[in-house]
Parts: sequence; C-alpha cells; structure tokens
Amino acid sequence: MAQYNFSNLLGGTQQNLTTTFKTITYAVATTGATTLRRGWIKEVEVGADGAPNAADTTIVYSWDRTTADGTGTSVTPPPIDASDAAALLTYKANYTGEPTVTANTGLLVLALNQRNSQRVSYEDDKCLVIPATNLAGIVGRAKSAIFASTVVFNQYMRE
Amino acid sequence: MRKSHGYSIITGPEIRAIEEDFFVCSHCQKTTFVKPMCDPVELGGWCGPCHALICKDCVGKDCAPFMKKIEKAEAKAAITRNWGI
Repeated sequence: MAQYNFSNLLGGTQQNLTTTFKTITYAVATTGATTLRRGWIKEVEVGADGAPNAADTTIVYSWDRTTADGTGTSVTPPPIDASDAAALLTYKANYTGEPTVTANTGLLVLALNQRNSQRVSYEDDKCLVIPATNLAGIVGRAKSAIFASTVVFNQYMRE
Repeated sequence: MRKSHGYSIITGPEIRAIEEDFFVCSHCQKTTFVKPMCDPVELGGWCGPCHALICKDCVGKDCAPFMKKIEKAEAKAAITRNWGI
C-alpha cells in the first residue's frame, strides 16, 4: 500500500481563519476508470504557521465527512517512497468555497492553543477510511474566534 | 490504555509535551481521546456483537460496524454507476 504526504502547502493560497470553519484539506475518491478506490488517513499534524495573535486564543481543528465538493486548489501529494505510483484519489487544499459537510461527523476534533501543534497517528487497521464512493471524502477544517492567520495541515495518506 | 488505536502528542513553546492515547469508534470512526484513569462510562462503551469500542454517541444504538456501512455504500454506488444512473 502506497503512502503519500498531503499538505495544504502543496498548492493554492493559504486562507486566513475566521470564526466559522474554513476547509484546509480535502481528500476524496472521484468517479473514473482508475481513480475510484479507497483511501486512508494514517496520520495528521496540525499547527499555526501565521504569527500568533496578541490575545491568547485557541484554534479548533476538525475532520468531517462530506457529500459535495466546494472550491479548492487541486494538489498532487508526492509518494513517500519515490518508487510508488502517483496518488489516484482527488486531493484539494486551501478552499475559498466550502464543501458540503455531513452534520455530526466530527471524526477527529482538536482544540489547541494557537502556539501549540498536535500530531495524531493511527494504528494501521484503525485509520480514517475514505470510501471508494464518488465525493464521499474527508475534509480537514479549522476555525478560531480570534486567531485570523494561516494554519498548516499535514496528512499521511494511504491508497 | 492497553491496545490503543493510535498515539497523539501536543507540543508547544510553553508546555511540556502532552501525550494521549485514543480509540476509534467501531460504528462511526469518531476518535475519542482517553484520559488516564478516567471512568470508562465517560468514554463510550463496548459493542458485544462487533467486539469493539464505541463512542458515546453510538452507545445504545444497534450494532452497525463502519466497514459494513462503507461496503454497502460502495456496492450501491457501483450498481448505480453500472446502470448509468
């Protein structure tokens, strides 16, 4: 199984956070002869890369399931092992138009101080599964009441 | 936690690294972090039929393993795709 490094630094313009969720990463299977297959989120790492706000504040990170896409920049995550084939799922980052998120599907929710970062690594058989179904993907989103700069999402994906 | 489903670490300039274990709900894939020595009831529950940990939201509901749901959704999508619907 090939592993890929998916980050919102791969393409597009990083968007400043607001008080409502902003989608930073999106991984999904899309209908096509070769691309409709399952994906797994093996590991996530998040943190702010913009300058911290003078007021102490939190950033909420959330991974949720979706039913429809929004407006983001397509990116191509490189394989960790250079001899693996290119990624076949659809990957997008730095959204300017929000995808449709399925309510109450917070697969992973983290509330972190703006100065902190977190790494979450799943066991091999417990990774978050992206089904081989058109547009049923997983988004990584973030919001903050005060922090209004940019964050970095880094995800290790398996296909 | 014995047989944790993964590992998490929080790092920052003003804190000591905070490590946490967690489990992934067998029914909905929600990640629940486990505080040391916490009451198991506060974490969720145990599903007997699928023999796995489940989150608070799934306690008291029918056994519906997540992978079964995905397989069903994929099969349904394959049928509609094959029929060109």
